[in-house]
Amino acid sequence: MNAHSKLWRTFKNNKTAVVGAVMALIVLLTAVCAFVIAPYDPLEQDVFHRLTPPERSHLLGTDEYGRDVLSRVIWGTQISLTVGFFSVLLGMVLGTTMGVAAGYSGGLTDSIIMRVVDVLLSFPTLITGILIAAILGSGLVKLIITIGIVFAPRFARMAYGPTLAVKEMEYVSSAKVIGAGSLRIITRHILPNIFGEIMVAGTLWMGTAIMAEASLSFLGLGVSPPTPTWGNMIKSGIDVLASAPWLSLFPGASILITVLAFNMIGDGLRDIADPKLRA
Amino acid sequence: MLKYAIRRILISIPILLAVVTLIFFLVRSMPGGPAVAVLGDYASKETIEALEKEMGLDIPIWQQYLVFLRGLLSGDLGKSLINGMPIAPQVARVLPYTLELTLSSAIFGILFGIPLGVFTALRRNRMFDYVGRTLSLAGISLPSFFLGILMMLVFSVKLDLFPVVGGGDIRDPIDSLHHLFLPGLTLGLMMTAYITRTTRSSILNVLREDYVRTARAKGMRERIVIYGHTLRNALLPVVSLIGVYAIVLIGSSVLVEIVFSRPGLGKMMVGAIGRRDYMTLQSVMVVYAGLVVIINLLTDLSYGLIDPRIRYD
Amino acid sequence: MVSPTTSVNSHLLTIENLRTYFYLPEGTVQAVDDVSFRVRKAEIVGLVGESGCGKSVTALSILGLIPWPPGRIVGGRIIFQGSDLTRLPPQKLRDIRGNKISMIFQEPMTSLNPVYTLGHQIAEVYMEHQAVSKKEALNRAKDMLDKLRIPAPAKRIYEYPHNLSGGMRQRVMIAMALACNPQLILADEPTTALDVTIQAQILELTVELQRSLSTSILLITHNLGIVAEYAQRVIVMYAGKIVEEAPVIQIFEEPLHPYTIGLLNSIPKLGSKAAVGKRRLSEIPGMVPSLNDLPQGCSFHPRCAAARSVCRANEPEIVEISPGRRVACWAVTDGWS
Repeated sequence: MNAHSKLWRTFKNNKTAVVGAVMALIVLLTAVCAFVIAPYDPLEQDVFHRLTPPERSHLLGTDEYGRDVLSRVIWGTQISLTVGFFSVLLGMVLGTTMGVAAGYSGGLTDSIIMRVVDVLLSFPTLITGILIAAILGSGLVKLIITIGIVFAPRFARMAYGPTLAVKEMEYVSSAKVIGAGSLRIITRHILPNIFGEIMVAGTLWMGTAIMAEASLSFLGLGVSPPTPTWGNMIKSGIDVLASAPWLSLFPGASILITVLAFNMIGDGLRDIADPKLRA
Repeated sequence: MLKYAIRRILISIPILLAVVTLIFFLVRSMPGGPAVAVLGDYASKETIEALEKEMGLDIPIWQQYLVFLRGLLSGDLGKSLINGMPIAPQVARVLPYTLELTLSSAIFGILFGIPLGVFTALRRNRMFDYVGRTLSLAGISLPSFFLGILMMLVFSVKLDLFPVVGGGDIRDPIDSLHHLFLPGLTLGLMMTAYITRTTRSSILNVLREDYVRTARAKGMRERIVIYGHTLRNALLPVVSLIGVYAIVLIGSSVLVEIVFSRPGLGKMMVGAIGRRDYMTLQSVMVVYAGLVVIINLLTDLSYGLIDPRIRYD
Repeated sequence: MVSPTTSVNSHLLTIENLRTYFYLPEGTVQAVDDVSFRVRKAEIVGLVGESGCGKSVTALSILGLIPWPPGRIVGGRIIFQGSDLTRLPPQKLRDIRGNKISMIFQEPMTSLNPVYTLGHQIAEVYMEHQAVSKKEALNRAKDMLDKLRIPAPAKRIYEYPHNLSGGMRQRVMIAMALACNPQLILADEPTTALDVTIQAQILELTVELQRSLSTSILLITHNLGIVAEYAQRVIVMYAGKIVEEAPVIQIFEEPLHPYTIGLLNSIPKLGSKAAVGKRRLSEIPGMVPSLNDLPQGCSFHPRCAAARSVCRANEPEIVEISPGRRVACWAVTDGWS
């Protein structure tokens, strides 16, 4: 049977990944269509209906300013996915550049870059993120940069090994002999080799990025209210946990569903990439 | 083994130095400069300079660095920018709470995660496995602070079984445990999820190895094949990963400490950021760095002990 | 040649119509498809064929070591000491493994457990089957290492596999296999992974021990030279089926099945023109078919010079054309080879 149906069959056999993909798609659609499906303006306050439990006019209740929780959760999807996507992208570009540069140049550049990478990686991701967020400040763009910087070392390490390996291969030496410039070698030979692995990693880390955004916003270091993000909604919700648990529960559940979706896809992609590791 | 151990310990030192240096310079790159941050934008030039002198910030940066290093070696972590109190005693006061939390969660994770990993591997693709795999996947997808909130909601608020906030009196074991239970359980469950997944896949990998087939061909009973031949080999990569997860756990502990208002390094760090107390932030990060290096070292040494290829060479 | 006895008693192992299939996503692989043969006491039988012909799977089927999923024995009987091994409860099968029937595997590098000492890995066979103490078992292990000419056995039993060379590790595997004086050893390519100089040593040693213990050996290999040297009888397999069986001299002097002929022709013989590069080695044209997509009729017919329409239509039945001599080929049995 041809490669296309074989791939389809493997994917179908791995129901987890399919379910994950469907969930992620729903989340994506929610984000894209937020304008259409959100019943209220997420920033619109209503002082007469503060902290109301879930009911017909407010399906997920209202928060301490009377804002509709459902609408805020829906709009929060946009932020989470945006941060997730762009921070992973940034990390991928930054990290791959570092890793390829280190692997390709060798010598002192190699040692310095990879030592820095090792040092950055040995620290808990969250704490590194907290430190960088403290330096850069809060806000959506700065948050994306923070998480991108936190992820870069991992991508660097991932790109480093294959770069070294490919560099040694004969077709690269022969390319050099005929005068091919370094940039050409890198783009034609090295990048295609590491592309697949990096893509799989990128998908897996969308989930981690979303978690990171939530955690940093929860700590007050990410996106601040009134902009609704799941993280800062949970933070506000803690103060009224006993009387109005829905403020924290629904954003939290959204994080769970979204991150779970990406992890499921990631597991599935990993199984396809290396069938020997199939569970 | 001895050579391996010495090498590992020796490597830790420059790594620790590098991390600590990085922290020093990163903290110094905070916007505005520490004195301005403390005093506010309207402070006069003289007040700022006076405070800088007091903080030791008027000398050249490389001198500050040396002072910093010297202080570390003698256990002096500097003084808080906000209230001028020495930081080291404050750290000493909260460190036991963080250690208590991290250690108990790691132990919980190992105690439950490894057997669960083995059982799901052995009952592969049966109901137990599907449930186990889904739960552990959910476990790693759940933000730690959310799980903490859920725990709090169910056990403290609704059932009123456990205290909502605080760390309890560290000298009173019962009180400590009472306050440790929910935060510890939160992190412990997350650790369990990680370890279950790793153990499961490691066992499945080892079961495919030739030497497992040899063991069966020798007529060894299944119990010995699984818990002897397979498990011993499967645990090797798991031990390395436990170290990695412990470090992730340290990160998550910050969130859990905030959720439960539990004293600890995490709470201290976040508080320091909020008050722009850079000295405290720097010192807390240095302590974290030390913890990370120690954990890595312990993991490497444990691995060396249980892998005979390293132990006996 | 000894006239064949039809009673089962003089045969140690009788395999009847064994079928072992693997159910894979690409299709069902009929790795062993209706294989029948016997092994007598104290006999060395060579089971030859190319990679993938089913010879290893046959051996694994005997000991019930086929992993499920994806493989399982779907038909046939394997009779040993009055019982059908395919129907034995797991406990009884374990009593036989390593005890009455042992197996030696191809890769000594990966077939030994890296975290257990060599002594332990041999000793546990004694502890499992002969209920002796660990101390006594280690003692016997040491004696076994000595019998296999491993130097300094008393020290070796406390060493780990990674301390030893490939040849030494294979000796340890043989020690494990011989520990309980089995009646049958399944040797799956025992020397293929070793250096040529070591190969001869190991085989000589094994056969020497075999003679002194009156064990039977099912010697699985693709190396016809080894078979010529050590086996008394040869069974040739192709694509999961037996194509020819004969006493060793007859196989080499008078091969009947076109596949056997092709195999023998492709060995360069000393002094032949092919060996000195004056003529090309003759090879069998075509490729071994993939086992989930076998040709209609005789599996070998696409590559066979003597193929006729009956070969394309029907699978040849295996026929005993003279005592101890079986062939599955229309050309031979219909008399027009």
